[in-house]
Amino acid sequence: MKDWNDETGKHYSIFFNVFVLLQIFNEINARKLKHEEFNVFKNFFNNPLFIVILLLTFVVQFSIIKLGGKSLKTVDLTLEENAICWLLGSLSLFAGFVEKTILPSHLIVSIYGFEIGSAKLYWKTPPPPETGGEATQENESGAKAE
Amino acid sequence: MKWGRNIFDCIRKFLQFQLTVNFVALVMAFVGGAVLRESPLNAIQMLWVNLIMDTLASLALATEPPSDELLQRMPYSRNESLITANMWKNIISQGLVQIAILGTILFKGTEDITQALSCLIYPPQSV
Repeated sequence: MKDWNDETGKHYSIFFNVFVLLQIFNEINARKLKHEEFNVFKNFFNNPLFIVILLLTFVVQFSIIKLGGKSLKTVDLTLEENAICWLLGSLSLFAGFVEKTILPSHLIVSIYGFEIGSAKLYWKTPPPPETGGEATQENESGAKAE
Repeated sequence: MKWGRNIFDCIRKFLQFQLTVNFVALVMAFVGGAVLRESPLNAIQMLWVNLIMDTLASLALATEPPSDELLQRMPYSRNESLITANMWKNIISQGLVQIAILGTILFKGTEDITQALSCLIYPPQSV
């Protein structure tokens, strides 16, 4: 970025803007952990701090692009370009929906490998699942105690 | 019981978000550095990304109030991994989608993005 000017900076500004917007929209996705939870907006308003932070990041990101200038190496984008960046950014939100729809729920991914139903591909032998009766018994009794 | 499970879930949510951002940022910085000989994100922009994904995200994702649904499920086993299979699935698929989008912008994007997109919507008549 030696020869930074309005022309060359625009491409990188759009890149930076879309990058951050993708992350912000993905933050909404990250609130749900399980495959069954399709509605990522469930209990969306039960955490006021989350809403405040989400809005704050949107505002600060917008002003970084708007006012960044030479120190942040960003260029002011037009309204149209901003709208396109937002559309591209919100793709990460939809990607979450699509991924939950098309990927089968019995696909298991871990650091040891993949597993779909009976088809298994491991590059590392996984630890045996729950050996020893001690742990399971303890957990069962814990569940009963609830 | 409720709070303990809630905190465990919050940490998982934060990790899911954090790993996705890190994965994408790392790949884009590496590919950008290797192909273009310069990082597409400069230092101050990186600092802002870091601020979003560490400080603000941890505050946002880890302060969720517990819900009564947490009491309905079975307890986790003692040696359950912190990142579940479904979290890996979310992280990897989300990361790949984001890398695809950003890679397209970085390498196929022109200076005038609106013109490029309007060409897609209204293809020029004479080619």
